[in-house]
Amino acid sequence: MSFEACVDAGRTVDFTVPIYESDGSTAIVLAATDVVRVKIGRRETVSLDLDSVAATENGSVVTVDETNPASVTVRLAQADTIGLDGAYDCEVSVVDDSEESPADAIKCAEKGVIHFLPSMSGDVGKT
Amino acid sequence: MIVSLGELLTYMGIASTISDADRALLNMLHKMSEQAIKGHERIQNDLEYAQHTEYLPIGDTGQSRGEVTLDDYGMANGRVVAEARYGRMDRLQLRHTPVVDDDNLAVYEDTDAYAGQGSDAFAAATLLTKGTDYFLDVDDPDNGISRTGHLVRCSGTWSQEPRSIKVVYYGGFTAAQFDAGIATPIKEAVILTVVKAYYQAKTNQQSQGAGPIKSESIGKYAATYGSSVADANSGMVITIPPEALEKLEPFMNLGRYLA
Repeated sequence: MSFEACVDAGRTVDFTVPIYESDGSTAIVLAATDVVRVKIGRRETVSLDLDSVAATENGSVVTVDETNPASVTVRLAQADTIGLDGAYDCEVSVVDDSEESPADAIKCAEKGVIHFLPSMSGDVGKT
Repeated sequence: MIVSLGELLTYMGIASTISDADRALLNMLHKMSEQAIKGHERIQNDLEYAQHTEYLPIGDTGQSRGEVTLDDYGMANGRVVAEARYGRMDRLQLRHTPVVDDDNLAVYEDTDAYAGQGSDAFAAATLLTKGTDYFLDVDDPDNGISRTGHLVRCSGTWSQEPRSIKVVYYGGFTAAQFDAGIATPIKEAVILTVVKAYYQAKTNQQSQGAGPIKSESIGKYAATYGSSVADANSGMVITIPPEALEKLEPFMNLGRYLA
């Protein structure tokens, strides 16, 4: 299953990603202790590495909205998207802690593309 | 990689619809296409920013080692340098252009190093000094690079003993230069090549008659073609389309044939 999202760099955005098996129709069921990871990068370099355990220093985080069928909201905080420009690969994966060999198996769930578009400079504060 | 999968999917307009199988096909052809460009006979260059080591020159000028005498050497800048007995060789051609002009550039000259296989080859004492013994032909000072990739000897001549000069340097274009700088035509050429290869493969997968001929009859000519995927992809090669080659033209460098 693939997804595509457009994000204005330097702005905060939320987008929802339903998580399916590779057939694109069978929904994945998450356990309460599973961790969802989101990696955004280009070529071999990861630019943003997010998870559902804790937010980044700037506030980007993955929130599990539903466990059955699984659906997550990815929040990209404005400070984390500054400097990103163009099309980036995105991988949503599940760290399944019910697995023992290997322990905490990481399973790729979704792949997509996120487009970071330039936004205007200038004041972005409240005043 | 010069191009990311996401950029390819964006160009093709299938980022949200591509299947896992087609993503795998695209990934395979992407790598093959980049290699086809890097290995093109008029490029032969890794193109991506990385450290490289070369042993030069690639051959001598007809003089066998047994003929070398003291007369072949002189002094310059406090060093023993080779004299030009059979014509001065004052330039060395580095392969992975553009060559970056930075402090990582290191040139060693050691006539019995034998491509690094000799005893104590390229020891610290054989390190030459940039700006004194040689200089990099920086023809694009704004970007701090040498597009020609020439190392020029300041005095005397470069050693003509095969593989007696070791050059360690950074060459190629950075990701930023591919994205929005002087190397964007290369990126565009890669995209054009991958897309052509992808749709050709997709056509071959579905086609009837794209494979090799299985049987023919001459009277009222008829032919039967292989229709399996394996047949259809038989003889598949990644070809660089003419429009991509046109983009690559400014980055072709035949100077290596003179090294």
